[in-house]
This record gives sequence, structure tokens and C-alpha cells, in this order.
Amino acid sequence: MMLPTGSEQCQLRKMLGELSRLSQPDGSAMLCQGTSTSLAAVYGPRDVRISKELVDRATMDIVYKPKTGLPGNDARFLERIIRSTCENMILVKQHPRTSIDVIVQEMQDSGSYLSCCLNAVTLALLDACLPLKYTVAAVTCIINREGELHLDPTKSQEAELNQAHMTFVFDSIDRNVIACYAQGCYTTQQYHTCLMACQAASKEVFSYYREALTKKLT
Amino acid sequence: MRDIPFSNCERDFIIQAIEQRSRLDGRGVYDYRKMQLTFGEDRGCCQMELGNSIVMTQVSCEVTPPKQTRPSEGILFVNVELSPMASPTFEPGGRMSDFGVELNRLLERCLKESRCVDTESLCIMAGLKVWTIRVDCHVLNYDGNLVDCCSASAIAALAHFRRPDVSVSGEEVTIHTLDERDPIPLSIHHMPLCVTFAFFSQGKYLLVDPSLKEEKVMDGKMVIGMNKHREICTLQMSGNMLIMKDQVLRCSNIAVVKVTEITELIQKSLQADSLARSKGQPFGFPAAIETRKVTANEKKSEVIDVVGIEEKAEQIVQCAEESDEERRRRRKKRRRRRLE
Amino acid sequence: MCEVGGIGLPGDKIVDKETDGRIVLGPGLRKETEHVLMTKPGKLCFKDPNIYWVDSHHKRYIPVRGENVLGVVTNKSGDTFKVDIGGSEQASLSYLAFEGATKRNRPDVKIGDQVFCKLLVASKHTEPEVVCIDSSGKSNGLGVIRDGGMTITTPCNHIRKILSPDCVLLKTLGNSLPYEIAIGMNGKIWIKGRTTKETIALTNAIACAEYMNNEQISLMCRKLVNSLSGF
Repeated sequence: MMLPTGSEQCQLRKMLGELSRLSQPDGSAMLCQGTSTSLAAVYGPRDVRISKELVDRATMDIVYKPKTGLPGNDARFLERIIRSTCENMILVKQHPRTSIDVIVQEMQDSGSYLSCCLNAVTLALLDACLPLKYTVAAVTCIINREGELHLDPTKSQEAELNQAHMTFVFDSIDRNVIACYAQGCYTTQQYHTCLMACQAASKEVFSYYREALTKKLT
Repeated sequence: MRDIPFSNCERDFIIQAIEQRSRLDGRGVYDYRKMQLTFGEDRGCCQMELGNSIVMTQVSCEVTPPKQTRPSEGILFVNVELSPMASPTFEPGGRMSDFGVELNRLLERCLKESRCVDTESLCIMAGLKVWTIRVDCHVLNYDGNLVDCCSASAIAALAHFRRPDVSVSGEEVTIHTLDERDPIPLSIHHMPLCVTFAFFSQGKYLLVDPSLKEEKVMDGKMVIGMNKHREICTLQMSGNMLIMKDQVLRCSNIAVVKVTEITELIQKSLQADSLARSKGQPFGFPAAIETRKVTANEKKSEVIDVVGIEEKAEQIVQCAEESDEERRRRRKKRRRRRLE
Repeated sequence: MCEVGGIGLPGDKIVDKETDGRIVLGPGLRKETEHVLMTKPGKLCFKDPNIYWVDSHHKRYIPVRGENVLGVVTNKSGDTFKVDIGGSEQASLSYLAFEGATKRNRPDVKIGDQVFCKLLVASKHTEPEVVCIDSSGKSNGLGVIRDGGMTITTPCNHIRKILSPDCVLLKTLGNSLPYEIAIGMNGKIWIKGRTTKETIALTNAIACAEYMNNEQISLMCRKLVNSLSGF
């Protein structure tokens, strides 16, 4: 009863991205998932302020810039999610006493925005060529009022009265979940179904990474 | 953070090249770098690329009480954000650098004091409610000449912006959503644009649109804000230099040409955007990425195979429940044993 | 899974060729339990008898011992200069590490000067140290760079490409435009042609050759020479 019925519901929107978008940072990427667009830039490993220096690992600094107004609690929340994911992904021990700075700029939020940001950050890290344990892919899904599952929802779908809204982050080695952000009400079985549908969809994101990097590196 | 140091050899070379009327990127003395305007999906979102300098502006609006001194005028608020992604020298958050303050002030002067936006039309109820238009300029990549880039992107974003319609009946103000009534564009009288001139060797040589390296070497700069009707809106000189009167006049003549060019580009891009919107063609940032590039890549959406997932989930849940059950049973047994 | 010659992403396991199980891991690889995993995106390379490494694209320089780099003197303090080589930390350069320098006879180096130097110490835990002499005390081409020329910055992978024996760029350019060049592994190239115009042309030619193959490079060089002589 819960499985997506239409083909539109169980596919990710078109992915379109550009690596090395900016000339100043060491690595940068702009990623559009459908029309959701975010721009991520990475500096590092670069010099670190003495007060922030860590002797055994790199200091991570994450900044999220919203499009309008000053960064508020939402921005802090996003920064925290990106930080925990990055610290998991980057081999911070390889560059002690340095700083790795990740800056994310909101360009256009039209649904599944958290996963768009995380995927853009991953692409920027790949572009900057920082040592990573694995790459990560984030996929968002919702369970709507009828109990149906929607992958990669748009803004208007997100704005409706939905049962639940979930974002899963997977690693590229075993496709295990490394992070999950969920809101709403759902049963255990619904949760597992969402997880597995997103896991299946994460394959698409990983193959996008591979295509993009292969195109750039050859 | 530490800036990338600039060596004496680079400094000398750039000056030497300018004396011979050549520039590092092969441009002429009065040439701008390649300009490109992209509009986002949201109204009032505009990205301006000037060579490698990139600025994105977003215009937004909200209803606020007016200023005491001007009860029947709306408010225009300008904010420039030097994002730390733009340059290794820009600090994240916190206080503004001198450079940021200068840029913000210059842009405010160019947009607010030239009265290019009709603030009186932004009044909803005199003395009580007016629209506040907020312009946020985000500098995304810094490669010189931010002033021109910011001013062009800000005015293009203002021209692209639509505010929701309102209706007033007595004391009651209704703001109509986008579905109810078509949003209204701002009334813009003219488009003030900034043109930057960099001076070298005590004002002997001048360049239009200095790049980052040229800005590091220059003695000083002059910014002329002008619209296409040849009206000067701002003029600012900074740096350690003295320039002749006729040099200023010469610059203003060059500015006329440049402003006409940029205005034309903005108008053309606005038209192209509205055409794409009305025809249902792709627009916004995804449409602006050139997939030909080595660094760009596209992936069409594909249907994801979800067959059998539900059954699997059911199994997992059952397994978990069974093991739960078993644990409970074991615990009970243990407790009984202990009691005995 | 990534095979030799293929493009891999971080987290990919590498396929071992028929070596006897003892292999040497170069940059971009790490060992986890029984597998060897990639940590950087790039082309997996192999060299006989058993060396594996990843050839990746990066802009930021990470100091490696023994590499020649081009730096800018940013500070003088006590007996050392501080040199910015584009890494995460500034390198130190001793007054005595120049040819013919003694305690009395100090080298003439000013702040803002460019030095072509060799990395003597480079470890992630300590400050890098550079010298402008080889082990026998001769300068061997190292030292302060003066008298004109221009410096450009390119990604580090582009430097490796230019210096590889297969690349025809420097040779083709040199056939018609004589120049002096100093290439630092930190992505900095100092170049000086006969005239200012030629130097500008050379810097642009080197910068735009990043994504070109040999044929495109020779075509670009030919066009460049034609347009230069057309002036």
C-alpha cells in the first residue's frame, strides 16, 4: 500500500552539476537536483588560527549562507548536519594542525534541499581532492497523507500535510546509513521501506559522482 | 586568514605591461571582461559573472512600519555579504571588514540616493505599513572589480523582482498570495550602474574593470555611478593619487559607453528570462550550466527499482520483533530462576 | 573496485595485479584490514615491481620532501626568512642556505622577493624547511629570481603534466618563442620571454593547456605563434 505507484514518484530529479565552478577556492561544485541548487566551496588544508589548532587532526569549519537575511537557527542546524557528515567522511588525521573550511551557499531551495547541500559538499570535497574515507550520497523522501512514498520531493510536495519527511545519508563502500534526519510520524515498517527505497536511489547519486569525476579527470 | 602574497616581480611586470598598453588577459585598456547574467527560479534572484568575479543577489520584501521621518515611503535596504568562499582573506561571519563597509556604502549610495526605485509606490498605509525591500548581494568569487559586478547584479535583481499584490479596505490590509493575484514588479525609474577605473603611475595610465592582480598594484581607483541617460549618480575616488580634471571628464565619457552596454545586456537577459518563463522553457540556474564543459555533467532521472522492498522491510521488522520476543522470554525465565 | 589505469573514487578497493602480496602504497591510498582503499579521486597508476599510487587533480599544495618549489619571502626574523610556498604553513629558509653565504656575507634577499628552492624537511607535523643549495653547497639553478618575468599559478596536476616527458607543451612553445622558466611543484610557474607581450602570451598558453591533449597543444601553439607574428 505504501510503495510508490507512479514512475514519477520513484525517481530522482535530473542532476546537473559543475565542478571547479569558482576560481578562488581549492575545490568547488554547483549542484542542481531538479531546480534545487546549492553551491559548495572548500578551502584546505590551509593555515589555522592558533586558538583553533588541533595537534592531531584538521580543524573543520563549516559556514552555511542563506540567500536572504542573516543566518539564523536553520542555518546553524544545517551547518551541524554538514559538519558531522564531513567529519565522518574526511580523513582529518592526515592533515594535523591545518584547517579545512567548507562554505555552502543557498542558491535555490525547491525541495529536498538538505540532500542537495550534502551532495554538493561531497562533490566539492572530491574536486578539492581531500583524503576521504568514502563518498556519501544523501536522498530525501516523504510519506504523504495517503501513506505513499515519494522520492526526492519538490517544495510544493514538501509543503503539503505529509506524514513524514526523511533524509538518509549513505556511504559508498557498503551503502550503510551514516546519518538520518526524520520528522513526522511513521511505523517501523514504513521507516525500513523508506530506508531501502532511498538506499536503492543512492546508487544513482554515486553513479553521478563517478560520471562527473571521470569526465573531469580524463 | 593569510592572503596569498604578491611578489615584487609580479608587481613590476604588471606595471611594465600596463605602460606598454597590454594586460595579462589580453584585453584592451577600455575592455570589460566577459559578462553573463543568470536569473534564478525565484523572482529577484540574479547572478552576475564578470570574468571570474561572481556575485549573486537576492531581493526580498516584507511589510514593516515606515521610518518616522518619511511616513509615506517604503524602505530600501542594501546588504553586501563578503562570503568566505569568495576569497581566502574574507573572514566568516562577525564584523565587516573595511573593504566590505566601503562596498556596502558605495552600493547604498548608488541605489538609494539615486532614487532609482520609486519608494512612494511601496507605501501601503501611510504612517503604518510600508514594504521594506531588502537587497542581499552575496559575493561568491572575488577576482577584482566587485563594485561594478555588485551594482549590475543588484539593479538587475530589482528589475526582476515581483512583490505580492495588496489590497486595502478601511483598516484591513490583505496580502494576496501568488495564486490569487499576479505579483507586481517594482517601479524602477532608471538603472544606475557603477564603472570602475584603476589608475597607475600617479594617474598617468588608466584601466577599466581591473582584475584582482591589477587591483593589488593600482595607486587608486575612481568609481562612477551613472545611468543610460548620462546622469551621474555617484562618484568616488580612493587611494593615494591626484588626477587631473580632464582625466575625470574622460572617464565619465568612457562610463557613458560602458553603462549603455551593460544596460543593454541587462535588458536583453531580462527579456530572455521572461520569454523562457512564458514559453515554459527551462530557466534558472540549471539552464545556465553548459554541459559541454569538461567540468560539467548531467544525469537524466531514472526510475529506481523498488520492487520487493516492502516485503523486505516487513521481514526486517518481523525479525526484530521475534528477537525482541525471544529476549523478553529469556529475561522472564532468568527472573523466575532467580526467584526460585 | 578500481583497476589500474581506471578512474576511481574514495572508498574504491583496488585490484591487485599478480604481485606476491607485498605492495608499496603511494599517495591517495590507504590500507584498511585486508583491503587497499583509495582516498582520493583520480587515476590509479602502477609501476613495476609493486608500486601503486593515485594521480589526482588538486589545487592546494601539500609539501613533499625534495620537491622544487617557487615561493615568496614574506618575513625576515632572526636567522631565517619565512617563505610562502602555498602550503598550509609557511616554510623557513635559513640565511646560510644560499650559495656562498656565510655569517658575515648575508644574501641579498628582500621581502616580496621570489625564491626558487628545494624542500629539505616536509612532514605534516613540523614546519617545512627549504634551501637554495644542493648537498654540495652549489646553487644549481636555485635562488632568488630577479630581473623581470611573470609568475602564474596553476593546479598542481597541471605542473606534473607539463613536466612529464610525454608532454610537448614546453618544447613546442620553445621552438618559436625562446623563454626562461622556473617550475615549482607547488603550482607556481615563473616565465620570462623576450618581450612583455611574449611573456603574456606564454603565460596564457600554459594556463589554458590544462585540459588539452598533445595534438590540441601543438595546434594551440601554432595559432599563438601566428597571431604573435601578425602584430
